[in-house]
Amino acid sequence: MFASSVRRSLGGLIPPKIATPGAVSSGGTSARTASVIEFYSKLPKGPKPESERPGGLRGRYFEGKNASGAPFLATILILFGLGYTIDYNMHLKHHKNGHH
Amino acid sequence: MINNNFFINSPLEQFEVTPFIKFNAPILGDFNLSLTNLGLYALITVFLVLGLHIVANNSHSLIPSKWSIALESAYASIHAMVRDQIGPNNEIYTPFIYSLFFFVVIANLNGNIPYGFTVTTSIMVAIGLSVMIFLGVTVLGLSIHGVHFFAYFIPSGTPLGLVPLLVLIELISYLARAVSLGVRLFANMVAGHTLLKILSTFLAQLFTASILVAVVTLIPFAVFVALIGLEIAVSLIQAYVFCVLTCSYIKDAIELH
Repeated sequence: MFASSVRRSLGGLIPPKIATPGAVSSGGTSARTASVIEFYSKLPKGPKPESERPGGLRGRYFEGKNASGAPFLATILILFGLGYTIDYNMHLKHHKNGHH
Repeated sequence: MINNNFFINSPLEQFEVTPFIKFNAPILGDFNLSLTNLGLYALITVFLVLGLHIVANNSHSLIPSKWSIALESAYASIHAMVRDQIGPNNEIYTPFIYSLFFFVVIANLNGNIPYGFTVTTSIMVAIGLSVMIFLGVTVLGLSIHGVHFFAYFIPSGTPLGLVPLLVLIELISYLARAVSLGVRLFANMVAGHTLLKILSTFLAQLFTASILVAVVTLIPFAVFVALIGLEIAVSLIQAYVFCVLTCSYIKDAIELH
């Protein structure tokens, strides 16, 4: 009895919890569930065709499984370089020999 | 012969707004257009926010990438904040709060990159944002409630004799919001960046003194690194606080207490 109550309470958390029309709605196959199933069944299946995938930097660093933190680091480095260049030309250049 | 190569700048020099390009035109009075470091970094902030949302949406694919999960989490958090603060019937304010949050958070984080400029350490930007929000919220309250908006300044159940005094107090506290929201953001960012600049100047002097001193300096340097972490946390927290308070001001204008 204890085991079954545990299983019932954890049943919502532990997969596999397959969404059949009976499980997600009270009345077997309702019209709403049918429309949801129809919507998803019409969606294209499988990975995106090669021709539709974006190329370039976006395809290499942002899309799908290629997503990585590299653009984040690159942005920081670019902004650091920009900031140093500005600071060098506005301030450091004029103080290089120690005079003010 | 120069024997003093070390110069110490004012720690507040980093907040100076200096023009890169100046353009004076004697049309429409004394017309002056200039691109300052403040303007440049504001443009960079807008570019980063827009770029992030354009490039990281994973081409609207059904299965998310790590970037689009991050964006969706940010959206879910801000959406939940708006629902909690303003109410589930007023989700129309989500886009405003979302864009406000992303502008402030990217501007703050951008300022943590060395040699950068923090847009929100300019009092004109911080107060400008908060005064605009204050004006917008007041117009919102007046358009929803009309003249009844002024009931906001009289708490319910006030004895008639106390009304003039309480109206004055409530009016001052209402007007103070316009300044306090901006000053909170500005003061936190300025204080943090000034502290880091002062400490890093000291540490640079200690590191360049001698090898023994440089080794010992690694201990205060560890504290300094922790302070950088704190500063990044402050950047996020201040953006969050700014948005939470904007939400609560909008809620006050809609519900009048």
